[in-house]
Amino acid sequence: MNPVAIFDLISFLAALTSLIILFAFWKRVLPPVAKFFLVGFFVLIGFHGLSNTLEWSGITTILDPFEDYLEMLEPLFLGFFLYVFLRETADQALRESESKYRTLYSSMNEGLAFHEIIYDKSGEPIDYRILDVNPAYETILGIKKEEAMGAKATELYGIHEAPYLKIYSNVSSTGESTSFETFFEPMARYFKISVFSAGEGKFATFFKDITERKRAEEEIKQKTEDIALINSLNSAINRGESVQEIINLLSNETKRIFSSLGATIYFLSKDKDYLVLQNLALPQAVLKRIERIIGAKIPEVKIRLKNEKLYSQVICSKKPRLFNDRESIERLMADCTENNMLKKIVPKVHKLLGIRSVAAIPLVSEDDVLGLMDISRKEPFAESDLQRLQIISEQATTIFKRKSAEEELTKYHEHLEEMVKERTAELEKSQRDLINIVEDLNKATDKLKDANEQLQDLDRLKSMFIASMSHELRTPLNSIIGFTTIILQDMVGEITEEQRKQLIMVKNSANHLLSLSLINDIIDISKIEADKLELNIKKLDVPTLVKEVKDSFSVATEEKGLKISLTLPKKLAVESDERRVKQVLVNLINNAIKFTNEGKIEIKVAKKDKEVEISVEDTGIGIKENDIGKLFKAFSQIFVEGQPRQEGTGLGLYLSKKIIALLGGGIKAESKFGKGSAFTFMLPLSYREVKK
Amino acid sequence: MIQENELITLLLWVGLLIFILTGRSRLKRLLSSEILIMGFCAFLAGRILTVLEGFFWGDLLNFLEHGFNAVGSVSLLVWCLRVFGKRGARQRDESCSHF
Repeated sequence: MNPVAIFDLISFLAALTSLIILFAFWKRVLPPVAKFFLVGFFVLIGFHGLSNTLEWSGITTILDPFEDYLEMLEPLFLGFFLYVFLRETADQALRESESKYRTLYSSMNEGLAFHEIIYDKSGEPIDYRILDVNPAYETILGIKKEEAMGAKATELYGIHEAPYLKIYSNVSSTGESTSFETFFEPMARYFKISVFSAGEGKFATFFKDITERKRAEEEIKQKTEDIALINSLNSAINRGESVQEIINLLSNETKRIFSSLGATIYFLSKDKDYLVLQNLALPQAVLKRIERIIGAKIPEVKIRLKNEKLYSQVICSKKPRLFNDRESIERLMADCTENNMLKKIVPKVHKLLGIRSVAAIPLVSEDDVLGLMDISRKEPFAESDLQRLQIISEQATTIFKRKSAEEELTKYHEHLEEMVKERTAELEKSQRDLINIVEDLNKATDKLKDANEQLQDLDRLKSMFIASMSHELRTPLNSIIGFTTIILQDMVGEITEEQRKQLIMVKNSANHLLSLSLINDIIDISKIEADKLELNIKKLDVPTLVKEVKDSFSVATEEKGLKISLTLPKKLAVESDERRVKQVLVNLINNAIKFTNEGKIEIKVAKKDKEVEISVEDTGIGIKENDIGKLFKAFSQIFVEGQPRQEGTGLGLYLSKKIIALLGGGIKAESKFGKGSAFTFMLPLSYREVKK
Repeated sequence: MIQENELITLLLWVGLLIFILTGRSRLKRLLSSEILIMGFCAFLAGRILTVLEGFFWGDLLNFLEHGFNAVGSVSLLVWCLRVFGKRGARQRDESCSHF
């Protein structure tokens, strides 16, 4: 087969298949005109192929003569198909696009409006007209489409100047889109507006109501400012600023936050009868003008609180109050004008500042009113402003109270410090005086010590002197007694009776002098005090010793008719000086005999623990209780009324006490006046050397 | 030897070529537009060769002419299959495009 015929057959079959496909999916998409031309094109191609194929086979058809003309139709059919097809496609795309935008236009939340700018004769924009709006426009602005369409902006919104005309005309002329946020006064709402050029002299606006967001932002901003104010007050207090500085800070910040003309703070006087102005919250220039007008410094402002006064009512109610009408503001001003000077100032200040609204907020904390804050401005305060001011005032009051308490505490602390300083100074002075006294005492003690040492030296010298003198005295006395006895025994020849008599007197006197233990006593005391008394310590049997001593007094007791008895253990040995123990015992018995006129004397010896106790009891005249303390003092003799004066030196008991002390024991006396006495001394069983 | 009808047909195809060239951007948005254009070009080539075969290499150019016609027909068959067939319909739906 001819290859060309094969190509023609392929062409025919391809065209036929295409036709089958077209018919199989006939309902699909294609517009009828396009289908017609496409079918026609494939019919022509198919015929062309079939005709050629048949021609190669020698078969002719009735259309062969028209083949050339039919061939011319092929590009025309294909061209028309393509034309219709493309046009239809473009139209459909446009329709779909339009549908999309229409859906968007109607369903979008943002308002959309098309406008046309109106120019005056000189070509200056003076207004704009609304051409079209979407449903959201109606919803957001509350203006019906019929109302808006074709209306001028000034007429539609009831204002003199078309809003944002300059921005819109600029976008329209330059083609540069822009967007901005604004407060649209006619609607009293915030909007975000995006402006696009819609051709020469035209523009489109997309807008969204952002009032809620703006109000929320405004609220957050206000709260942030309020918190910042309270924080700054707290910081001020922490920095240690004074109450006046904190008042000024509160006043200035409140003034700034509320865009007010002035924020004035009053504190209640201590008697709570007055409100006393704490700060004149006026600009310096205004203050100077006022001072120029009145020709003097502005006086202290004090408002007397009376029931009918508005300030008084605010204080009593403890609730903030707004004064937005002229009448109440004037009344409020009149409340401050008791002072003649203020009568001049207040109306002038009022006029000068143009006050139209005043908020009076009591400074209350925990039901305690501290004062009042009033804030004035040209625009009326809202209720929300009042609430904010109340919160701020509560916090400020707490801070003021805290600060006042701190200042009081500081004052008290300073006062305490002052007191401590004074007391410290007094103490230092006392200490200095005490040191001086101690120094004086030390000096006196030193002097006393020196004097004492001197006295001891003197005492030693005295004792030595007395010991020496006694010895020297006894020697001649012995000689006198001895030689007088020799003369009286006529050993040196006979003497006259008168001489004998006088010599006997000499001898008796010398004996008396020697027999009185004065000299012996003085010698012993001198030895003790001069540390020269030597002891002869050895074991001795106390009953034996006491018995011997008792026996030596038998003559004396018989002479006075006294009984003397002993109470002794069988054996009791001690380590001591026999001679000195005897001396003490003799002394005590001697005293007992001396002061006992009748009755008995009883000597008792007993062992107690590591001591031996020897007592001499009598039934004599006894000693008064007051006099017992004097017994053991040197040269002390006790005289009893109605009793003859007894012989003696007054050294016996003193010496006994010294001796017993040297022997390591002790001595005591007990007595009942008129009934008798008991003298007891104790000796250790074993002698211990006593430190002198 | 030039035939009048062949020349007119060629001119018509050239006219169509100009139309296609001017609307090329829109044509390109169609599905499988490259196959359609290829088919068109094959037909145009066939018509050119028809005219030329009258002047030289008659048999060869005639052979080629029929070959191009076949290519053109098959190309359009493929295009039809892709555009109107099931697969083509699915692709259209997915792309949301009109051919």
